[in-house]
Amino acid sequence: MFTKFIRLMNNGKSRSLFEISELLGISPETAEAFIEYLSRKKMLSRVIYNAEELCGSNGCSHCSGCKGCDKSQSGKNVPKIWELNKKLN
Amino acid sequence: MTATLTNQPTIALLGQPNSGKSTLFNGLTGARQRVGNWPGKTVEKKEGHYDRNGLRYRVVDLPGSYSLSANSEEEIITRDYIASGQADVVCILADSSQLSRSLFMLADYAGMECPAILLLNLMDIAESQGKSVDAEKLEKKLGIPIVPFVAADRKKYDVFYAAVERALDEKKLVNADSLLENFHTIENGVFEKLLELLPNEGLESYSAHWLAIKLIEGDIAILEKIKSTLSEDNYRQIQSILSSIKNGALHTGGCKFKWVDELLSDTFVKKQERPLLSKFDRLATHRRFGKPLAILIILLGLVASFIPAAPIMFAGGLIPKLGEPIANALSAISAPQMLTDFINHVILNTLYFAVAMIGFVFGVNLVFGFLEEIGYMARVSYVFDGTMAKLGLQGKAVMPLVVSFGCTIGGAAGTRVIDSWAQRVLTIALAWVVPCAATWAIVPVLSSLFFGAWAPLIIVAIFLVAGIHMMITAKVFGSKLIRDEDRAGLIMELPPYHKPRWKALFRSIFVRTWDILSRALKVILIVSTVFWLLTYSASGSPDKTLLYRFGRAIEPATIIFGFTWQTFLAYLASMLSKEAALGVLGTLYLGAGTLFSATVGSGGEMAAGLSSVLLTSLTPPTALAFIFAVTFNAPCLMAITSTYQETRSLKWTLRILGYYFATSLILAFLAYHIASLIF
Repeated sequence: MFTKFIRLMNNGKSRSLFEISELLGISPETAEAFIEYLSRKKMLSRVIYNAEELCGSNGCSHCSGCKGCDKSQSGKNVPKIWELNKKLN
Repeated sequence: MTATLTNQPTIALLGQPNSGKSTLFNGLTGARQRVGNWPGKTVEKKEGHYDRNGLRYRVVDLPGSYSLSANSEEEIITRDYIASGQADVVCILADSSQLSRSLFMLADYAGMECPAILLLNLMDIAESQGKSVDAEKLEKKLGIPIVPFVAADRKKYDVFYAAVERALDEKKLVNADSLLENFHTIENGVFEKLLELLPNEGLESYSAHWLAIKLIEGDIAILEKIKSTLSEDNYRQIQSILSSIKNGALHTGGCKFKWVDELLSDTFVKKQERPLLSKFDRLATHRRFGKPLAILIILLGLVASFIPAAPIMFAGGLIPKLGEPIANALSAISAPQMLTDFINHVILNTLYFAVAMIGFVFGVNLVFGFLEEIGYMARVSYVFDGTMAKLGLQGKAVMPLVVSFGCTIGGAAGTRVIDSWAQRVLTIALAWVVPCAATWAIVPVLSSLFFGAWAPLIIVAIFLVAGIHMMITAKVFGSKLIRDEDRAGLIMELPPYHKPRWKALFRSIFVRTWDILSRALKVILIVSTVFWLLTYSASGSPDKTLLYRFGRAIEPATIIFGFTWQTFLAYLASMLSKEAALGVLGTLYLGAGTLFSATVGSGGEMAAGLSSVLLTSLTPPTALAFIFAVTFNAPCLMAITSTYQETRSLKWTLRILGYYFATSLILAFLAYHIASLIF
């Protein structure tokens, strides 16, 4: 099952958790568990858009309207993204 | 086993972090706890006891661990403790609200030769999510006591006590027959081959099959552990088998998850989600229909943004009307003429522009903040993944591009998540196309002024041009930067739809809007003052000023692109900051009153409102050329600096800058000449 999972990810497309679960014939909860397992095995990495890390970089600490600086909003409604570790490609 | 049943049975609590293990431990032992460290380790060890029916039960809280692999010190301590036989029964806690995930621990435990019970903890949360488990059926499958449980509810611990007593009495192990069947499907028969070479009785409390699986997973600690029990030949053969396995953890993990799925297939029920929302989500994330739906929603959102913006923009338009009463008042107290001019033409213009533009900023933030808040914007980034691929971008470039709607600097900084330098440069180059918040501050003001009710159409046109611009830019830069193999697959976990949290939404909108307003006020005021001073002439002859003469000299060239010399200078100023363009326009057109007269030659009056002056001075084609030029010019000085910092390449920063300068002039040229045919 994991081999198929990796194959699905190897074609360079982005897929939603729901789409992956439908293609594999598993529940979205199981797909979530897959992701956690593969992340622990260092086969997947979480892509972190860390607002706090971005904030203040480039001397932009006083810039306005930058979502990167809007800590109250950071990560709340953005998708969680994982990518396949390169060595498995 | 070191503890005897009649003496002091030992219960070990095993579970993943957040499975409720500590709650149960505290519930069972209360104040009867001892906290120390595991021998030779820095990991905390908690022990306690409870008394029941004349027996003292020792409780050991094992470190929270995801599995029984050797991924961390906690996991090694946990499995070594169980294997040592010190526990009489292992109580495995699973989070009932996410069984697919939390039963993995049980799958990893199967094969440990120690009696166990399974606590389906957090059952109250699972039920509130519409989930239910047929514990009886599950118990038949697993062969060990199964207890639906709420560790936080101490009044209902009797079921736990009874299950422990049963487990101690019956000493049943987890039935792993169907799991073993799954392991036999691992390719090349490696599982069977290893079983033949390992001691039948296993080692300590590890069964032979458990050891074989850990070896397939590449568990070095287990390999070391069994080395002494094997003949040299068997050990060599095992090593040879292991060297032929690639990504063993993928195979064993797949078998374990399949087993969990099989366990839950007829024992676990989840109430279906609301069908209406589910149908909409299918459409919103559909490969073919999701994109047009997103475009439609975005366009409607932009049009809708004008609704809350209109009254604010109207209020801004009233500000220049204050000029006359203020001039009269100042004249009555014999204030210097220069002060009156400054207040009338710099201060009031600054306020007018700032207030007028903030209306649309508020509207856009409200509409798109709402879409983001309910979870829809995440779907937009997902459905446009195919477009990212066509542009040669990695899927994860989508977030920096989305952030660029707020601020290009944030978008450029966001490209740090992209490993490939070439991909980063391309993403930044494309992020410059995305109109930032400051663009949305000035474009609607000018569009409304010149095109009235057609202003939304200008916004739509800007979006269409931005799309084409991105495709061309990707071709221009991508051919030199991108290889197909750079693109990696991604999984996106989209946030669930939920009701908007209005208080948080409005707080965020007001913070953002205030940020933009205060910056715009500062930038416009400074730029207006500088240009006002450059064009101010006490003699009333601005045509003697250097700026005027320079402007007149370049105008034959700028008019080809649809610029008057004033709009051209404003366009150049927009490279410093978009808002600066408004300051320059306001000052050059209204100036000290006399500059406008000198330029336009129509006797512009001091009291004339800026909007009417702009309408008199610019034609719709020149206004459109200016709007397109400013929108697609370099975003601002800080974005240029940030591009250099992120790419670490002056060459590529200058290339991008030069490219945007040239393309914005071309777009101005096209907009001007096409509009000239229409208007």
